[in-house]
Amino acid sequence: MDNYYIPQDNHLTRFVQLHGGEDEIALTLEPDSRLDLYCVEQEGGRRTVTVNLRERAALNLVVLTLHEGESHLRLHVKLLGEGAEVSLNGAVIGSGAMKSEQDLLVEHCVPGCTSTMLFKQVLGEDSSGYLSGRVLVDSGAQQTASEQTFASLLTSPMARAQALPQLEIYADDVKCNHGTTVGKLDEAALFYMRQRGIPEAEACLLLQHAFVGDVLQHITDEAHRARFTALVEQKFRGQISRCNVCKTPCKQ
Amino acid sequence: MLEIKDLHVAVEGKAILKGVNLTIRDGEVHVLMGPNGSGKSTLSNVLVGNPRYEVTQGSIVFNGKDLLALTPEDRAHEGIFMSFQAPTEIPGVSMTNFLRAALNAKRKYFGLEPLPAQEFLKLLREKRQLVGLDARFMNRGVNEGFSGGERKRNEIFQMAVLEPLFSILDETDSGLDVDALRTVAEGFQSLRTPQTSALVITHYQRMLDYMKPDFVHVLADGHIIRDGDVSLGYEIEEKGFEWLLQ
Ligand SMILES: Nc1ncnc2c1ncn2[C@@H]1O[C@H](COP(=O)(O)OP(=O)(O)OP(=O)(O)O)[C@@H](O)[C@H]1O
Ligand SMILES: [Mg+2]
Repeated sequence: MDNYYIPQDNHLTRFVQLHGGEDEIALTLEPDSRLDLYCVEQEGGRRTVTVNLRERAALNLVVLTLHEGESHLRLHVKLLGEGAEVSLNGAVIGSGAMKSEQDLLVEHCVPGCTSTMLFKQVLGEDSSGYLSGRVLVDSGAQQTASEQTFASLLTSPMARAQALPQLEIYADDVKCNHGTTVGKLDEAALFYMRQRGIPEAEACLLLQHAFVGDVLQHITDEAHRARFTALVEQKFRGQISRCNVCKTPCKQ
Repeated sequence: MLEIKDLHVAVEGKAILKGVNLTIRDGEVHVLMGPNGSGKSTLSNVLVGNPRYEVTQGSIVFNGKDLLALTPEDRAHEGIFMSFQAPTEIPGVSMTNFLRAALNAKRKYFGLEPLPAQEFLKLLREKRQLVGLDARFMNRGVNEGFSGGERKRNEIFQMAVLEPLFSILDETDSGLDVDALRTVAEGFQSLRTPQTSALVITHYQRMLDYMKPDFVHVLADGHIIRDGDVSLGYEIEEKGFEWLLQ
């Protein structure tokens, strides 16, 4: 179990690589602290992340899922202090027989907190992606604002996507929205690009990259964003298989 | 430059073009007119290889090559450009990245290295000025949130960047205001050389004034029913299509 404890008023940025097996991460954000957490799931495995946020604390999480195995990410966020904010973002890029499951739960326990979920999956070959997001608003949690956006792009007829946003609201003064889309690559856009001379494969790549672009925009730090963008690009080009993004040499 | 022979085309099993013949030589501008639904955009789409349109008979030769055997991207590299009647939005792919990909793909086709960043940006600036397109559009997604007129201007901007040999302008005039049309038409004329040709589709006289076409053709129900010079265009503006259809 990894414990991260973000002291009051501290702002931290962390990059975490998730490998096979089981991971448990517990985060506590003290009042007025902020954590930008950027994770790459580069191998299948089971991950559980639990987060407690105190007054005005802010968590910005971006998870990139790139492996070809099976992964299960369970994320449980508790907003315990007024004015706390959580932004959960993820991009799943599936190839091979990848199975990915993201199971998100955000509990609004006190008034005046904000939560957003933005998860996108691009699923090719035989991959499948499952997104489940639950937002729970306690009866005392007035002035809650929450938004869930799940979007999936299927690039192969064998790929499967599921997205299940759920809202459970026990307070009356809240603003909660959710939206889900599942689609294929835009044929008209593809043809437009090819007419301009962009080869089909390159055009697909540009469209897929654009699709997850707004997830990557949540990486506020430029160096990390460039690193993630490069990983996404390599993945789309088929240049990543399992763990060649690791610094440590792969067992294979 | 372009030779279309006995072209038959179907869309979703329905015959749209039923034996079109058209020859366009280097340096010529041809205008294509015809009632709504007569097949003008269908012909354009077939020239650029849109997979939704099925050629059931006939041939197209472009600068000695069998055009129908080429992919859309190779047709573009060989010098064919279409200004779309309804340009598509590509959210999240910036104009700059889009044009860089297009230009470098063409260079690669001809065995050239990618254009250095500085030269590329300079090229974009020059061509933007030519058609009066503001710099702020370059960081937006392709056509993302562009107005109708801005999209049309953007088409001619892309044409200016890619410098095609043969351009198809499918109702580029519609949606442009009077001043924008003048700017875009002047931009188009300044790009012309004795080696470039164009097929211009329009419903309006103003476009005839600007394009000064060498030939005007009328397409109706999948056939070219009349060929003439610019005076044919003006006659249609005056009398409509009815007298030709009888
Ligand atoms: N993708 C398509 N799917 C189904 N029908 C189509 C498609 N494209 C064209 N058609 C049909 O083919 C016929 C010719 O259409 P086309 O767009 O070529 O006409 P046009 O001459 O360009 O008309 P306009 O002046 O209105 O632009 C029409 O009846 C149209 O409905
Ligand atoms: Mg048309």
